[in-house]
Amino acid sequence: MTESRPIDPQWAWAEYQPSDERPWNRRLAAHLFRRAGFGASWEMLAEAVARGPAEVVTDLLEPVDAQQAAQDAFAEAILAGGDPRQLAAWWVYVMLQTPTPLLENMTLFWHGHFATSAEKVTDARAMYAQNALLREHALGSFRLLVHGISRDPAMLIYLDSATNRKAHPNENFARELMELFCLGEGNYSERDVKELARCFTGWELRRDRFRFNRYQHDNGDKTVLGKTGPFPESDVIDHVLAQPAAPEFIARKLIRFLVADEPVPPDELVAPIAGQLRASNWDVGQAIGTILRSNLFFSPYAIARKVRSPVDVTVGLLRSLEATTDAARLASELGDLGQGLFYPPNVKGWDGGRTWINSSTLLGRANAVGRLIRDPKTRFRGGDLATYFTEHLGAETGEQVVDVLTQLTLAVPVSEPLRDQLIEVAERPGPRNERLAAVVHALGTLPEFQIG
Amino acid sequence: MLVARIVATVGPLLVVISSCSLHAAEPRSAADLLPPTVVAFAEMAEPAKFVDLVLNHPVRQQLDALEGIQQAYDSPQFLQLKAIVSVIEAQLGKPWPALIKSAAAGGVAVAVDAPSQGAVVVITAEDHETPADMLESLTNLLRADAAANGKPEPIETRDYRGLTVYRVGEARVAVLGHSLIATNKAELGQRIVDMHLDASGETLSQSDLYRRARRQAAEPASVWGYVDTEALRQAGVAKELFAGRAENPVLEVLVGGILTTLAKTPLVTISVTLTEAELKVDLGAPHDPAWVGEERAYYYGPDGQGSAPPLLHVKDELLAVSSYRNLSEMWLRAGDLFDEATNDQLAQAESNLATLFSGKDFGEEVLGAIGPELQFVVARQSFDDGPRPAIQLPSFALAVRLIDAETIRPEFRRTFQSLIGFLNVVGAMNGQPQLDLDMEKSADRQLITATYVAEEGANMDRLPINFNFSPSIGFAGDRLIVSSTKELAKELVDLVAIEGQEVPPRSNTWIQADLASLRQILDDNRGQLVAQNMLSEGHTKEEAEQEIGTLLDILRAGRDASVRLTPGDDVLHLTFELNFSRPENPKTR
Repeated sequence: MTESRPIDPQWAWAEYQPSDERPWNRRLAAHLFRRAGFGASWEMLAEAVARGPAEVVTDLLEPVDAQQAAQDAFAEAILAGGDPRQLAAWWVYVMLQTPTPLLENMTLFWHGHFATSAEKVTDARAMYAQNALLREHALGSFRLLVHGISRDPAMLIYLDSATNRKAHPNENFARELMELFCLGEGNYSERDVKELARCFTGWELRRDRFRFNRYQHDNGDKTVLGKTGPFPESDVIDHVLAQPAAPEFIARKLIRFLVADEPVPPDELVAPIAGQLRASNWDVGQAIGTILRSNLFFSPYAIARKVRSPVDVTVGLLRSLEATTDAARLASELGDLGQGLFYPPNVKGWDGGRTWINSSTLLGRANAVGRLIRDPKTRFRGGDLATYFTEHLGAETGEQVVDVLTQLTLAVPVSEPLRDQLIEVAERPGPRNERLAAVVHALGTLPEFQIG
Repeated sequence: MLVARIVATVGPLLVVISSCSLHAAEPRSAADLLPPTVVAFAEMAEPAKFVDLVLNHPVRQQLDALEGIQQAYDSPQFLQLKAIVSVIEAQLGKPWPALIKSAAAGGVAVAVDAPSQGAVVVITAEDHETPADMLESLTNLLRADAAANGKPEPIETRDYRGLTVYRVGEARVAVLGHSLIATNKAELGQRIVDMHLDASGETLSQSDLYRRARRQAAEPASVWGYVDTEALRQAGVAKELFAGRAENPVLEVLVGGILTTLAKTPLVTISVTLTEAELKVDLGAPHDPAWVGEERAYYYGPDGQGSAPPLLHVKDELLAVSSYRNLSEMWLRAGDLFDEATNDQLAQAESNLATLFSGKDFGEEVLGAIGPELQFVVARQSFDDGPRPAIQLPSFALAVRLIDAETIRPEFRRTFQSLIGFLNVVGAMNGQPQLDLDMEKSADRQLITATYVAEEGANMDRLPINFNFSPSIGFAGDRLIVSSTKELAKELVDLVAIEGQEVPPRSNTWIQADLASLRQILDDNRGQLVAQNMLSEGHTKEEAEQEIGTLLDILRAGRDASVRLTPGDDVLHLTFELNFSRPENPKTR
């Protein structure tokens, strides 16, 4: 996606077909799992290589219904305490254990898109209800998701829209609906904001539940984005989504999330995905499927072209090593690293990309990796690191350990001198568990580890 | 590697012994060997008997039967420990219980000496050969380990007055008669040896403080000991503990009187007694009622004669507390008890409370209306027949005697109603459920209750935490009950008329906990505990369920526990008791 080498959109979105020149292998499978859902274990990668990319992507897009009931029951137990920080720990736990990592990853994506912070909302149950809404539509209809979010109590509290009277229309939600949720900057006017705000008058919360107060709704004609009418119910949301800028805005954001942080995808590359969104009546799952199966996704334009978020770094590492840990502590650490779940920094969510990295967070990320890997509560497939490497990865020598680890966790191969250094760390005298932890910790400090 | 681990495990006891030519004919007690400058001393007179009791204890058999404990026995850590013990047993030719029986037949004592600031361990064997044999084996083990790991000779030896003293790290060890002496300070070791060889100077056993402590400590005890608190105060150790002030109202109410004693008492003894039926820990401190200044009269009562009322026992009781505390007097004496900052906070609180109590002086008129005999209960709630909160908390209540019941009763009633009205206004502003006031009257009993009203359509099995509470007050004669729930208030209003239950002799405070109820309350919240365990330990649901299940099963081992503060004529006793369940008759509900 560099300016010097324009990408042919037709080639880009055509399905990737493994060939001798571009073979489907463990490295590409690891890339797919890193982007789609926080990484995969050695065993999962082997299985994926055997099955082929198309089948693996189809599986990733499939929800597992049975899992949802158990997940909800678990969340209910946590919600009894009423603490949103516990909810963050719950989500970390779910991310670590879920059999549907793409669904969780896209729920996280929408959480950043429709950013709502428990710092202001404070009601854990409302935050959970929003999270469930995001998960319900994460791979489904964006249209239904926007309709749901417009009546979501947590969102309305966050945007100070708990009351919206016709005498004083609240512009917050109207502005964010166009600027941040559907169209992007430059695709609406201040007048559109004012008129759109009139459409949402009478939408309010009573005892933390959405209520339409017909007496406070402005029934007069409004002119929004060039169309005039009374816009009853939520018709105006469909009108906003019908704008040409809407599918382009969402398609561009999906491409940046799944393919590469930089540069901004050009219009011609965005157009086919935007067209697919429009044609499918906003089926996000279809668009994601196209992206994940594409030539572009499995090309150097995508591999190692994203800065990994704190969730990618920590949850990704643990999932790759089939590890479980103290989810409450990890959730708290994610906050320290700038990605507190349920606590996005502002209504724009996380900027992502290069903003994940600065001198402080870089050190924090490395420390988090070192801490996680040495935490006595971190267990690798139920056991210690040494047993896991020996029995489940078949890695005994320093060389084997480093080769497995780099393939599991890095998007780019390390240089020979660096590989030798890592092997030296793995073969130092001392208890094997500590040596292995030292290698993983050392990996966590590498620039290569920060990109995925 | 294994030997290295052994060294690490027994590191603190890196003890090697000489075979000394000076063998005493009869073993001497640890107190006969130690100097009188010891400031802390503890002794287990019969370790073999204690170990035998622990190994064959009914509780151990109960615990061993648990699946979670069996898994712990199979854990790599435990197996490693077992391997280390096996090596030691093989070296010394005896199983470890037998080793303890012979090597520590005369007891084990630990002591801290003031002038040298050293610690010493004295292990007295049944004869003088046993320590030498045991230490020779350990010496071999240490040396073999060092050789295997290419380390230098780990043991340094030197002669002191005909005794071989072995030094490993900071530890210095020698054998005196039947006893093995290990200390971290050469000066202390030399003094002990000099006293023994010269047969001169006063020993610890001859000191007045030791004898007084020995007399005061409960007999028979598995372990007994004492601390020379006068020496600690002079040395400036734990200044806050001996300062006599709590600087915190809650702490003051709980332990203010004990702090008075600690500031003056010359010593504190401890006796630990383990039997098949119970574990008892008794702390004793010489106490003179004259030490209690006017400011702490609220704690012990006039002339130190204040006594706790009987414990109130209710259905599904978790905790029963009775205590003597004149709260009004404490509140009015706050200026003598607390620092400026605390007094400022109390003044602020008094101002707010005066508003709540219609302008009445909180210390003088509100607390002053309550007698000093306090009874407090905590009980499991049963939600079998009604709405059920997601987290089920126990209910609790305070029962007091009103000094002028006829006059003050209407005041408390009005204040309670105002408080409920205030809570409803605040609750409405925050979208919280509302409280519905009600009143029941019969004969001389009156109950004013406030019950949360569930919203229409609410999940009656997963209500918010508020639904654990139905704040109530009750009146019966001159008694006032303030309760977190209507049901407990009702039960207590009927109960308080009954007097004369379980009055301990002159107890100042008596706390009794029912562990079966505790287990039941935890079991009521098993879902929450499992979920928390999953989050904090990273366990799967099955693993978390097993861990919580094991925890609840372990609680079955205990029947009840109590704490009692008893000011005797010249000794203040604080006694903890844990009564075990009998395996064949576990107390369950």
